[in-house]
Amino acid sequence: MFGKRSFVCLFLVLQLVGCAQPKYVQESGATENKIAQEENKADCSITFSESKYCLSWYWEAKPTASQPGSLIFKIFRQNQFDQTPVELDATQVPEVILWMPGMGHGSSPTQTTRLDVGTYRASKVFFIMPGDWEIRFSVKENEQSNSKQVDGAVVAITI
Amino acid sequence: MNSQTVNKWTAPLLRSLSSLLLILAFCDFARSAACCGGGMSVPTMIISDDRAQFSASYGRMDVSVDNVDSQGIWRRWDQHQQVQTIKLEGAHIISDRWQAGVSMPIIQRQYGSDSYSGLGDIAASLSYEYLSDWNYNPYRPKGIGFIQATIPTGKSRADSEVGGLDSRGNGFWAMGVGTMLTKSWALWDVFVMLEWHRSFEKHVSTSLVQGQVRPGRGSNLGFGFGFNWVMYRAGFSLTRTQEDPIETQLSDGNSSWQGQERWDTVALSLSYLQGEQWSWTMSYSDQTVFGDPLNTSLGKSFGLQLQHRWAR
Repeated sequence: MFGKRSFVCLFLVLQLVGCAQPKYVQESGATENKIAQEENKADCSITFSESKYCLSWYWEAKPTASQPGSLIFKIFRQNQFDQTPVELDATQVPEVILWMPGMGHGSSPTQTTRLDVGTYRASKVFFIMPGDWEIRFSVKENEQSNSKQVDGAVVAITI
Repeated sequence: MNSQTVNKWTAPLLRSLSSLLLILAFCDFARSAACCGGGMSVPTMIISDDRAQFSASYGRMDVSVDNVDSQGIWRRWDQHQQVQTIKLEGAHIISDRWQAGVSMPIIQRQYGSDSYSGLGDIAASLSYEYLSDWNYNPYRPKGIGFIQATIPTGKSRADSEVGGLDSRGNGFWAMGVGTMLTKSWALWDVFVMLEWHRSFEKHVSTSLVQGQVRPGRGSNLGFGFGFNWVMYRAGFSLTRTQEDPIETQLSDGNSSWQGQERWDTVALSLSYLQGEQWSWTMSYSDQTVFGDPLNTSLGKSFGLQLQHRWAR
């Protein structure tokens, strides 16, 4: 009898001294607000790391836990005359990669289609779990030379 | 030491010796990372005085916290992954103190209507009993040291084209060393387990990742105790698992660093010794009740294990 009581006591003590203290993110509207903040950056403020390209984007359909979404993005280059942004007439469709840096994995592949000059739709945008994600846009750095070097722009979002 | 003293210590020890073989009956899948199959398994070992043992286990883990980020923020969705594992394990003595073991998991991972399954990482181990308990010393534990090689037959997260949903293990070659210390006192038994491993880099070529993926070191540190009565054992264990950050070369030319991964697994088990050769173990484990996890998913699992032993 003493043995069984001791077992229960030991178990309870262990539970009390080290219980996890979950810090759940506040669900109500937090994700919506974060995404909205990113979308408001439709001012060509997201720049590519190597070239002087920049991009703007917004959600066409927001992804959910079970349904993929789609986003529209525009890539601009600098006008050589007055340095104002003009649509990039890329010969190859840019790639969009979803990456979760904290966990070291991506998500299922997206599909990018050209809508107009410099304007594209990324569909099948699906995040397999909530958390901090990166949307990584990449274009070939020099379209004419068939260079394999890619240039990327990263948008960090919280899902 | 007179015969009365010997009887005083040996009688309860002998009675509880059989419980030693149930110590490791906590199903190992319970310790793996809920998301994407990280972590490294603890080797298959014969803790008791048997010649050989074979175990078959089934486990089902339901992910309940989909993501814990690098700041320790927990996030959950309505829809979660489920992981089912069938594991076959065997161990055999080579000599009085040496033994070899092997384990082979088959894993199915499901998320919504998507389901992926296949072979997980196979692990082979070599163990040596460096501290024996032949004279039933009241204080000195039994100590077994081991080395373990993990063969990357499972898919890693980095190899996945679907965000790790089809991953079935670490997916890296890895070498580990560790020790297990066990001791029984009358109706009680305790164990401490320490394990360190090093995973080796490999080349990955997917639509997301092009280049080298460089994992680092990791560890499993655990302890547990059990209470034995008649042919039953009720056990508790707590294991902390930790994995170094992993560097990944992405297809856009940049590198990405995964944060350090950490989680704690609490397991409860109930074992039944059916005669001298068979034992059953039911276990429940929970990764959400203890510790301060980072960069992982957390799950709750239920497992059932059947073990057969052959005496020396």
